[in-house]
Amino acid sequence: MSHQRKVTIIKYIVIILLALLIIIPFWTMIINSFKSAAEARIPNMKLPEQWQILENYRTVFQRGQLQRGFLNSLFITILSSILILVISTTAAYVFGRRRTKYIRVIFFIFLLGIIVPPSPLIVAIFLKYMHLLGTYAGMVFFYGGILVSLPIFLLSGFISTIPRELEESAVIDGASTLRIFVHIILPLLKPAIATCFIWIVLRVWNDFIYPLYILAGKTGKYTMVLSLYVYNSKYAAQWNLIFANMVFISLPVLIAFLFAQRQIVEGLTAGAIKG
Amino acid sequence: LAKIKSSIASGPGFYFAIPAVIFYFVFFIAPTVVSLLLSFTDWTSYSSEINFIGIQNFIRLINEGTLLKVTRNTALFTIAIVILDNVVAFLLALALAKRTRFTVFFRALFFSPCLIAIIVWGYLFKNIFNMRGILNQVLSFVLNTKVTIQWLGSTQYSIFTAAFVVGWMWIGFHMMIYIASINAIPEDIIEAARIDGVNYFTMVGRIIIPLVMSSVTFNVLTSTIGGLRVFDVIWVLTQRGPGGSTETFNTWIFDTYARGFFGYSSAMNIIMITAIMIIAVPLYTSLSRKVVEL
Repeated sequence: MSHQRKVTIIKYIVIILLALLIIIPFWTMIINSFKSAAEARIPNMKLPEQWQILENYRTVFQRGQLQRGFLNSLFITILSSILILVISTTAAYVFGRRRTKYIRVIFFIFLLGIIVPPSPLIVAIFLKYMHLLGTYAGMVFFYGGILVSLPIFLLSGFISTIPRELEESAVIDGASTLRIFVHIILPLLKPAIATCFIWIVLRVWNDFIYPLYILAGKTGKYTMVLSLYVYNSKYAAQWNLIFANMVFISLPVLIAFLFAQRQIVEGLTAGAIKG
Repeated sequence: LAKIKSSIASGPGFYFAIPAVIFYFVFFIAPTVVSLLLSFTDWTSYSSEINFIGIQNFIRLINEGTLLKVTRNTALFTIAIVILDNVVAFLLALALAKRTRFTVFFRALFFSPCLIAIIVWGYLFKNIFNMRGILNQVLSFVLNTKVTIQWLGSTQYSIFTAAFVVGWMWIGFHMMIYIASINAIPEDIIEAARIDGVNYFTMVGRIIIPLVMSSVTFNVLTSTIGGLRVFDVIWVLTQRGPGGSTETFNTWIFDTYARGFFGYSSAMNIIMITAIMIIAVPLYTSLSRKVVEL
């Protein structure tokens, strides 16, 4: 018994030490964002001698174009989510219900998108010819193409488990395919759609590389994450303000996590196969 | 009636999938194919001419040593995050698998970093790993001498510093998958082993690990793909340096594209895609076939 107790104590010590590895970066970011420029020149973990909360955050909010960045992120994220959910649920209805040879080949091609990385460099060149480079539409369409695979995979799996009897009786009542899809299939898909939605939101909201290609220097359309990038290249040495900027960017996601922890964990680990 | 039933049984018309096909084709499949074609050309933004030059781009990548360097860096990075993520995440999962108020709090804590944009952590760790940054401050305090390790200034281990940040960020994600998998093991198997007097290490090695093998595959797969595609953290943390020692596939591709060498950049893109497919597709297909026998 005492041996087991020793093991338990060691286990807790290790967990707490590892937890410190997570807490220290958060602490560093938050506490240094409250300091004056001079104090934060070489950031440490001490409490500030001079608290400058409001001042720092106000400066960053204005200089960093955070309001603009937040609205851009929100706009791009919402439109991308709607687009991806519409095209993936409809496609999943086909792949979940029809199993002909051709349809299975097309389904397999869609699955490649889960693994194979996209080629944003070529898409940027395409969009230039379509006059969509550096526009919201270009960004949203690109996400529509590259983030559609996993939702199709998850949703079609879900649809194939729905019994056909419901649809059959609806057809006999004379309902069209679209009506059946909207009134019978979609309501049953709600939990799976929620999972996909969260997965898409986190992907798009935190993305850095693709907006760099697709928004291509149009800073007025930059998302929050990119606004941090721009800010850092402009005001590189002012760590107190940079940290405040980071806190601003982390807040929306962390607040969402507080309220919807279980759903967010499920959404992010959606690709995992149970077993 | 039978006719109607069979028409329903065949499902909705294919036109339902057309919108997805269009977006997927225009923004994913076609660009990949075009990238493949462009990789055999000398297209740059400096001339209006595009010439077919065969595999010259690939030869140049090999001859200039770029391919070897970039592959080596990306491989080191990927191996480091796969090991870090899976070992630490699995041990944490073992420790936190039981659901109590204590473990639920720690699970959320370990999970939280992966929700935040990686460039936030990139900038933050750039500061922490600075010569006068917090890591050296803590080490100086603990060891009671002045520590001035250049975590980001070494051509040998900067790539591992970058891997640490990405690995650190995703530990909680992989931990959650291991936890779900461990908790899916039927209680009576564990109980039976316990009654037979099996010790803890044997239980983990002989019972738990074999039964969570599909999660191991999934976790290795996701961190491998993530490693091979890494961009953000290198771009802001080490800025590909020092001396190109942290240049990876995607940072090189973006940089070369941004400098206007579209054909040359495409060649590397094709190499990266091929590398990922060679490693990931077999893993992925074995994963989708694997059923844990219970």
